[in-house]
Amino acid sequence: MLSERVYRALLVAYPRDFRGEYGELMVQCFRDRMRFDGKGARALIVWMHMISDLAISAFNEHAGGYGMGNTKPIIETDALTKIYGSIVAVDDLSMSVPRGHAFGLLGPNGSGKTTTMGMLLGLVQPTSGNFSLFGSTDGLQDSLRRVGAIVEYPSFYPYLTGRENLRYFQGIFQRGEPEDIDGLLEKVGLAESGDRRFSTYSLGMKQRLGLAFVLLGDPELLLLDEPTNGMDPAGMAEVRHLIRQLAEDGRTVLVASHLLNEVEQMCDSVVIMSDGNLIAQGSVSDILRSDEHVRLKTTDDEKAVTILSALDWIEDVRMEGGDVVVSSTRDELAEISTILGRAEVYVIETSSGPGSLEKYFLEVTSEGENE
Amino acid sequence: MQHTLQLTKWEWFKVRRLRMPWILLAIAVLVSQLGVWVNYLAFNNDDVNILMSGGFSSYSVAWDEPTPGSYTITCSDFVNDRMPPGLDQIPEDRRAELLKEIDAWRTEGVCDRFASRTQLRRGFTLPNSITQSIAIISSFRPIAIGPILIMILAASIVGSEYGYGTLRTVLAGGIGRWKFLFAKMLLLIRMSSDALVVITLVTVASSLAIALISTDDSSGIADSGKWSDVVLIFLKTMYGLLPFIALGVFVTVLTTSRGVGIAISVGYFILESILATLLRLNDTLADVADYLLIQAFLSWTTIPTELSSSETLGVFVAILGYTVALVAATTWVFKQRDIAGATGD
Repeated sequence: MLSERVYRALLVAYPRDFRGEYGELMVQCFRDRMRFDGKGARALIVWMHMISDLAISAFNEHAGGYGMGNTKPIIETDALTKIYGSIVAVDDLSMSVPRGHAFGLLGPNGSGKTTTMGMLLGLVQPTSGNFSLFGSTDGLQDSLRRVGAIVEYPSFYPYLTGRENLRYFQGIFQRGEPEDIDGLLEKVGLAESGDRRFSTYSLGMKQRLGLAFVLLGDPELLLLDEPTNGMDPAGMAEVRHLIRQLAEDGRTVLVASHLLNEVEQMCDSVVIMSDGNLIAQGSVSDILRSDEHVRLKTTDDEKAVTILSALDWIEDVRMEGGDVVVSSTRDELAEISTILGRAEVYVIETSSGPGSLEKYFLEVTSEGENE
Repeated sequence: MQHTLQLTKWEWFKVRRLRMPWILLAIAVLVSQLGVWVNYLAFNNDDVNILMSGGFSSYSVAWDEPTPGSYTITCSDFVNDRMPPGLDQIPEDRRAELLKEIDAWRTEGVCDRFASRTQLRRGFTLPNSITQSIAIISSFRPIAIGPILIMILAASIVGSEYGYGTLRTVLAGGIGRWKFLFAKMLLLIRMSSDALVVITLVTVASSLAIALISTDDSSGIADSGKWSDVVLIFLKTMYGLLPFIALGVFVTVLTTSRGVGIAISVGYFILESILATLLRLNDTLADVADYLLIQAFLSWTTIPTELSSSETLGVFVAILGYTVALVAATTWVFKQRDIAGATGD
């Protein structure tokens, strides 16, 4: 049987899961010398379920290491397709979004990001395919109660103030408490203008209100479509920081954006879409690592390219802007230099650079087009 | 169901900030009070009564012997059973001519549209003034202003969700589509009943004000009509408005536009009156015309009813049928549709 010490430890480790009415009841039960009856018994059952879920997810993480396939996905789509007449907006999309991460849905305008979000939120009926939220394929309305979402742009009632809009949605969704609203307005920097009508807000302020809206009731999953659209650079940085913070607190944030730099800074993993198709999926760090390179100036660049191209552990060697660009890490530079030196080609100058999502994106999208 | 009622409460939180419902309420109250005050004015002034009845009807006789003279009787005298003084001074032959004319008036119903003082008094004294006020806004012919106003309101309230793009925000938060629709319809029903309550209260205030300002003892406050008729017209009007609420919501969901929703709703009244006229040209189809939506509503809300009990049942079923069919169609269309962003309308 659980002891109060175990409970306290769990409370510290998983503050989001072990709290509320049942949490309080558990404390009372422990204080009453383990008498579990009535509501206390129900609390215990709820707790046992929570503990078993936590044990499973802990096992998954530790047994398989980090990776999208090893974490129980919060969103999973299976061959999701949406066709409007002759236009295929989303084509056979299968992706999974792991829990507790900032996940980017990346693609140019018209690539199907918003349609995908619309389908996940029950706004757009899929032509074919399935999806699950929180592991459940049915009871979408119940699942959506645990989701905070803004699709395309924040739409609120123009004749209500920012505060009244939040109060209205808090009331109809029955999420959180009215007292939370002041804190949310402050969090997104609208404390001063919360009593102004929404119609008088700038686009950046509308986005901020949208963020306060999605945070109502502290949902587990956030779906944000172009969340920094219309914001000034300082606002964009704030939002990026906020999204990172939310993910670090254990929430899952799915961000749809066409701003590669933004996704690179905010997200742990990405799905890249183009013309309704998924063309790449993976963690941002893996993608950036795959695009890491060193630039060399040598005594004989042409010979250097020939020598390095023959090495099977170097993926790509090319001439670019008068430099030899090698897809390699800085750690491998010494070995490259030695190999070239043996062939009497000497490295004069080196520089290295991280990969960029932008370059990767352009590569994979052009591959898709070529195919 | 509890959540749907909760949603309705929140809908009111939001809708009360719109100007449109208040403008429509003001129109409804003004039209209803027009009846009360015009009746009062006509009661005190024959010229107003003549204006209300659509024309002046009078008959005059003149003579030269033994002394020149003339005598005039108007519809006002006729319907109030009073002969102007001087009847005995009319020569025999001319008096016979006058009485013959008055008989013809009775037969031909010349003064039927001319309200008697008793009828006019009923229009501004309680409780009949309330019955009449509600009847005026619900079924004032030739335009049924109540149904038009409620359809404009329905199109406005539902259409604004498409226009602002807030439908996405609401539905993406896990509010079921049918719940959203039913909450809107319940809100419209509530707003209709609230409007009737406001009209009732304003009418009571008007009747009291008339009693206070009136110098004529016969004006009085109360003793016309039955209070049970007030309840009856209230309930019948509420029931009769249901299909119009459903029609307004249906048209707006179908077109996803507030402007088009309002235009089609109003256009329907013109279309139906043309259709009814055409159907009535044919003896076989004339009965069908009675069961068209507006025609059924007008028959349903007339008090005292001119319908037999079987006709009343038929109209009741017709209204129910329209309501159920329109609600079902709206729900079906709404569930099938993808929800797009703001239309800006």
